[in-house]
Amino acid sequence: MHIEVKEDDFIIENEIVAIENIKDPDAAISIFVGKVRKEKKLIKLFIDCYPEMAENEIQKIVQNASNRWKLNQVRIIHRYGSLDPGENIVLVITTSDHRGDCYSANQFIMDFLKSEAAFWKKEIFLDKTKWVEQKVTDISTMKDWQED
Amino acid sequence: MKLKYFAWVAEIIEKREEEIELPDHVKTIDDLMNWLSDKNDGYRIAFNDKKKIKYAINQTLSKEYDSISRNDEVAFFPPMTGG
Repeated sequence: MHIEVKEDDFIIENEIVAIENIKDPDAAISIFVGKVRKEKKLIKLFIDCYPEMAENEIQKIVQNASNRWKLNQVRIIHRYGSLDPGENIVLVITTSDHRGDCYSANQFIMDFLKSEAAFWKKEIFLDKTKWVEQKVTDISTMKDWQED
Repeated sequence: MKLKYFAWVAEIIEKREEEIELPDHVKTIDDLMNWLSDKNDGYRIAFNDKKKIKYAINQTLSKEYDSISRNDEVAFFPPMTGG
């Protein structure tokens, strides 16, 4: 398990190499990258973070995913700070012997990252700023996993 | 005790963190919010609607009536919006 919570950007290709650079490559690799949406009038996305808590929470989420699916490797990077539209926010790579496990685990990890990891987004538009509020659908998505 | 604030909670209180002397009668997160709210308007506004606030004791998400002690780090923040 590799978890990073940091301000610096990441290079997707380097992260894939880091996952592949082992003796016995995994048969299935899922890669999710979340980026800052290019919205009209959006100048910046500021992400506040409680790094120690975020890392703890991400570890718990990965542990729950590993209890549920057979995963070989998990690599997660979540950025914070001031980001431009189009910049990377989050990377989740899961690997497994089978595609079903790594697809599902990747989606599970992202769904829980949105609502359980200690990050808060603030949108800075040309004419206003707004803290993003947690969506009811984000909570219901997590509950759906719990009922599966 | 170390207190930390994040997102709009930090903006309203105008602090990211602070050290406080925990009074003997403040035994839970709820007590702490009430005690801070009596100190000034910033805390009072931030903690006005407790349904909008979440809290952590030593980086673990906690409940309103969980016990706190002098050596704990307590954080206040809105519901998370990562990813």
